[in-house]
Amino acid sequence: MADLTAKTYAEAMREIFDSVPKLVVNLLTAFLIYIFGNKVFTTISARLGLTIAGIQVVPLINAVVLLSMIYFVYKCFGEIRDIAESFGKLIAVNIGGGVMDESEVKDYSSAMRGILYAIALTALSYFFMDVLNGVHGMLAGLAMVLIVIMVILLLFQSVNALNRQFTALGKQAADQILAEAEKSAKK
Amino acid sequence: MPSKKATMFCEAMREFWDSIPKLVVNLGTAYLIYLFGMNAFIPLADSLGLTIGGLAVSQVTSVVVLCAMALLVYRSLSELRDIAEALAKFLAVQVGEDVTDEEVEDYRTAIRGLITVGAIVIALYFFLGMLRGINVVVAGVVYIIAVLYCIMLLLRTGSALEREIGAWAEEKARRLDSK
Repeated sequence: MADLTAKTYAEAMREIFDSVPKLVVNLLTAFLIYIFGNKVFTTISARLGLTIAGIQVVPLINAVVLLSMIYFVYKCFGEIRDIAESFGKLIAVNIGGGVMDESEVKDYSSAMRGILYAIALTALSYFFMDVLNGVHGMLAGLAMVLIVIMVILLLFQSVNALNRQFTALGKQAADQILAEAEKSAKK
Repeated sequence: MPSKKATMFCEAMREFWDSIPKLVVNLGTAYLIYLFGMNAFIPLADSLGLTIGGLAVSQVTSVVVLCAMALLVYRSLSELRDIAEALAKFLAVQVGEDVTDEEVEDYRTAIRGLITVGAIVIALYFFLGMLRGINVVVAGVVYIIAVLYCIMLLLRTGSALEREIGAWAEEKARRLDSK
């Protein structure tokens, strides 16, 4: 059992050190694309009033920027999933007190994944909505509502996973207190 | 054969430790949804002036967030009821020589009333802001209903405690008389 805990801990640490740098690089690239696209290229084409066959260049640039940002963000979500799973393993190792099972790791990973995805989606909506609004206002509105619903569903997924584990912990605590009370009553 | 007090104590302990974690997780998630909604999504939708078919996205977001929070608060209410039940049993075990069903029932009514009033006051603090964003009249009506309900619960709590304190004072007086 101790072997399993040590092995899980080592795996989790390795995954974190593998995923965090990739996540940072991908996020930075997406941010750079956002800065250049939204603050430089869009501003220049808007100022010059550029058009291609009657179509304004600004929405086109926004669409291109959006697509490339989506590509990098998609890559980021893979890394976020790995990091969440590692955090889940670390929590299971630390809370279980050395005794842990598969369901514990699965539940904590699922909870962490939900919370991290929710935070990531919220942070990303700040950048995406701005660009999407430049492409089409109503599209941005619909995307916003979808993101809100998705964030809420993710948080519900986390709460269900945490509820399962915390109920088990509560039962463990009650058993311990009752056993101690019984022992002191016998004395 | 364990005594009634010991059995009740064990039951209360199990109920209490079963419900507290669930309550904390549910309320924590409701608070997270509130934070995301009020501090991120609604201001963002407002600042960009987003609309869907003439309807402000910030209002739609308020409704969605409110529904999610209401669902979590609804789930928390059953846990609050269990916690009140457990606390009532603890009180009944601690106060008085023996435990009667009426005693447990009175403490349960009192504690449930107090906890529910506390929960309603805290919930109002979070919900009213969102409700006002959707419709001011609805927020006002909800507020008045909540105040009336709280007063009714406090009256019930008062009468339940009055019965128990009366019984306790009667028992004390009887003991003094017998001395």
